[in-house]
Amino acid sequence: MRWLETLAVASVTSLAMGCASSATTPPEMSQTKSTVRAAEEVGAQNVPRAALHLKMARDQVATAEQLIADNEGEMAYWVLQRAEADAELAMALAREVSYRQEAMEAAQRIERLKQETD
Amino acid sequence: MRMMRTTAKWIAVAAAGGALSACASSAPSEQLVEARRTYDLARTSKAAQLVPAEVLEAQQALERAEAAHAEDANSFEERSTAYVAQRKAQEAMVQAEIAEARLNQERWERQYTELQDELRRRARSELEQTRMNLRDIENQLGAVRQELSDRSDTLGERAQELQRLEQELEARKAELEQQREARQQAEQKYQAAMQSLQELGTLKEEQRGLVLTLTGAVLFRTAQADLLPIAEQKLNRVAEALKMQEGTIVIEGHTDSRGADEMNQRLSQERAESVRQYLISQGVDPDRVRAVGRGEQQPIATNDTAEGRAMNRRVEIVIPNGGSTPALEPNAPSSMP
Repeated sequence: MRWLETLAVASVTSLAMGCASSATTPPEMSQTKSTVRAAEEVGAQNVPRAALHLKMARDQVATAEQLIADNEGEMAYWVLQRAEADAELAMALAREVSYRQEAMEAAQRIERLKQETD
Repeated sequence: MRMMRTTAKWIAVAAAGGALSACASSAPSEQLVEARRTYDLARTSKAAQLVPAEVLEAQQALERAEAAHAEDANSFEERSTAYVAQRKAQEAMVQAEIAEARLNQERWERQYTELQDELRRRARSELEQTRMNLRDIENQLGAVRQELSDRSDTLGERAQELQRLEQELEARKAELEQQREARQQAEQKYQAAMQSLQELGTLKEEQRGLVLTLTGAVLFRTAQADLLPIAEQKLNRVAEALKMQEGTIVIEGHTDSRGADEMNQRLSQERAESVRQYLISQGVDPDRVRAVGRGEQQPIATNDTAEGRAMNRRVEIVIPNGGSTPALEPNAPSSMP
């Protein structure tokens, strides 16, 4: 909603200034792209479920960029919201795998120690 | 439950007049349905205990979606916020898994450390026990060594004692052997002496003892009391034989019946004395020897023949019974006939 208000103000301002409204990249775009990068950095592309959501995020970022170019700012905003949510989920899914792995290694260490001494 | 109330509230408002929405359709979009379902899952899962903040965020996202739905049902905004809410609810459950994994890891790492400590304690305790056992064994070993040493000393002493006794035994044996040899030699000498005595004259065992009879003709000239030279040879051997014994010796002189009794008595006494003196001169102990004249009183043959008379003219050396004469002790009873 905020974005809508921001756009309204921009539109009014540009109308007052007698210019045609131009498409501006919302701040959400760079935020979302940065989240997508973070998900890639934790290896989301290597975890099946995470990779799925990572792709969805990337696709939606592309869609948002197109919508901005087509002056569909509001829609772009919502699409970016979705992309952000997918990117965050992808990151969580990737981290889940590595934490589970670490926990399993800790369990195995105990087993090995028990076996060595019995 | 709070969520249900919120949803109900918005649905009621939407249904009540749709004053907030121009083209109100109260049916939720499939994204909203999905969002609600996923949120319910998250709310009732372990995420509620483990990551309540994440669940709250999911709830707030759903509320935004519900608000969007109430304002403009099925709008892109509603569907997008619902989409986000669904992802948030999913994420909450994933965060719950992460939290659980981290708790497990911490727990297992703690257990690992505790197990290590326990094992170290056990190892130290076993080591200590082993050390104590070792000390005990060393003490026992020391005691055994000491005993061994003591026994070894005792053994040494006994061995020496044994050696000493063996040496003593050997000495005794040698002594015994010497004594036996000496006795044997003495015996042989005695036998030899007796043998020679037998050769010297007649040796007889009588009631009164051992009697060596020497013919007068061998010893004396006729009617003389002096010893003939060859008599001395014989008497040497007699002396040797007598020196091998102890005990008294009686030398008896005898004559035949020719001549006066008195004369014969004197002659026989002198002759006996001569023999005595000679024997003493050859080393026979004087205290042992007595000389006695018997005259013509004890003839051993008839005086009517020359041979008989020759036989009567004799000297008898008597070794009475009771004197120590080895191997020739008379077995006859001591009673006189």
